[in-house]
Order: sequence, then C-alpha cells, then structure tokens
Amino acid sequence: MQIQQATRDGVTVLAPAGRIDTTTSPAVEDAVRGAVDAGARALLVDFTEVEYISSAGLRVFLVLAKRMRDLGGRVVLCGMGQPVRQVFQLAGFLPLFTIDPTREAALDRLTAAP
Amino acid sequence: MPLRRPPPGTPAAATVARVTAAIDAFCARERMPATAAWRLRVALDELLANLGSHGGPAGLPSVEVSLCRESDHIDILVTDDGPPFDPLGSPPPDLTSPLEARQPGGLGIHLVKALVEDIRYEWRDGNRLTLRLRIGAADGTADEDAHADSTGDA
Repeated sequence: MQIQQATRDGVTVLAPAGRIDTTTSPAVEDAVRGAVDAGARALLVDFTEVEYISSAGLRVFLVLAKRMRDLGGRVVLCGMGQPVRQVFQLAGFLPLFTIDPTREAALDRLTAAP
Repeated sequence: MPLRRPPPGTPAAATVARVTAAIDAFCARERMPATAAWRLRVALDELLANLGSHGGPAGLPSVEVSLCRESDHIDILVTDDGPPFDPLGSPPPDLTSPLEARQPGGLGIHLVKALVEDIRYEWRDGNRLTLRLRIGAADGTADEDAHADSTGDA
C-alpha cells in the first residue's frame, strides 16, 4: 500500500493508492494516526487512486472523523471513484463526512476560514 | 477455484492476502468487468475478515472459497470448519445516527448483503455461505458513474 503524504497551505494531504481492505487498512490507519499525532488539524484524504474500500477501511475513517471532532480538527475527503463512493453510501457514511469532488475544491474548503 | 488455507498458525492476514491473489487471477482469467470485480473482492474481504473474528479459540478455521463464473453472474461458495456461525443473523448496523454514536460493527456483512444478489447460510458439517453476484448490465454501472462526481456534503 502506497500512501502519499504532503502538506499544502497548512493542510495535510493523504493520498492512499490501491485497495483499502483487511490487508492494507493497518497501513492506512498508521498513516492517518501518524498525521494526527503530528498535529494535523486540517486533513484531506484524496481517494483518487483508491480502487475500492471494504469495511476494514471504513473503520479507519470513522475513527479518524471521531478523533478530529474531539480535537476540533477538520477532515475533508475527495476524489472518490464509484466503488469507494458506493461503499460509503451503503454504509451510511456519506452524511458523516464532508466530501468534495476534487483535491482543489477540498483544499479551497480547508484553507478558507472555518 | 478451490483454495485451502495454509497450515495452522498462518496469520489471518496472510490467508486473506493469499485468497485475494487467487481472486485477482480469477478476475483476470475471466476478464471480469470492473464493477463485478471490485464487488467480488470487497464481499470476500468482508467474509474472510468475519471468519477471523468468529473462528473460535483456535483462530481462523480452515476455509475454502469456490468461484464459478456463469454468463451473467458468479456463484460463490465459502465453507469453513469453524464453530457454527450464521453471519446473516447479526442485527443490522446503525446507518443513520450521528457520528458519535456510530460503531463499525456489522458493517461488513451489511455491505456483502448489499453488493450481492443473493446470499444464503446453512450448516452442513461446517458453515456454508452461498452467494450469487450479478455481472453486467444489472450492475447499474452507468447510473453509478453518473453520480461519481457529485458531492456528499454533510
């Protein structure tokens, strides 16, 4: 599992690539937890290169959303292809997250005044 | 495509990875359309993860996955020799409460039910899950693609 990480205008961008499933979700969880532990309070997760996600991956983002809410941080998701979006939808996760179509739109949102 | 688990003591993750590789080979050989392929992968990932958590004190039971491609669907049989466990009997997950109340439990089997056309459980000298996954037009791929770029703001 490859996970690109970058910082742009104070926003931490995580872009996992490939499948987020039982096998790979621990690596995604480590990256997400590492970013928050390092102080990220504006986090963008870009799913453009994600092939699909299973419930093991959903759990990672549920934990992330709860933790960021507790910390007063913000999370935006973007770049969801049909498989990722459909799994979020079936799990009832779409209302739990702010989701933008593109990374640019998500960055604009996160860099704008809250 | 019968696939037996490696010898006892092999970590569950290694077993899942091994099954995943076999599913990839199956999808490539059968030139599986993208939507059917990801649904198959997610469904089997959920079922194997479930086995890992319900396999009893001995850990992951011995599991066998059979895939049979027909013209417009895939027949899937997952058998294991763990303690009797009907995943279809689990209560449905909470899909509507606010973030604080959400729990990840039960989401896996809920996704499987939603992604396949049919799923049945029976106990016959072991747990047997029989699934049917639709291939092709019934995937509704065009419809789903049309919504792929819409936003889902909370």
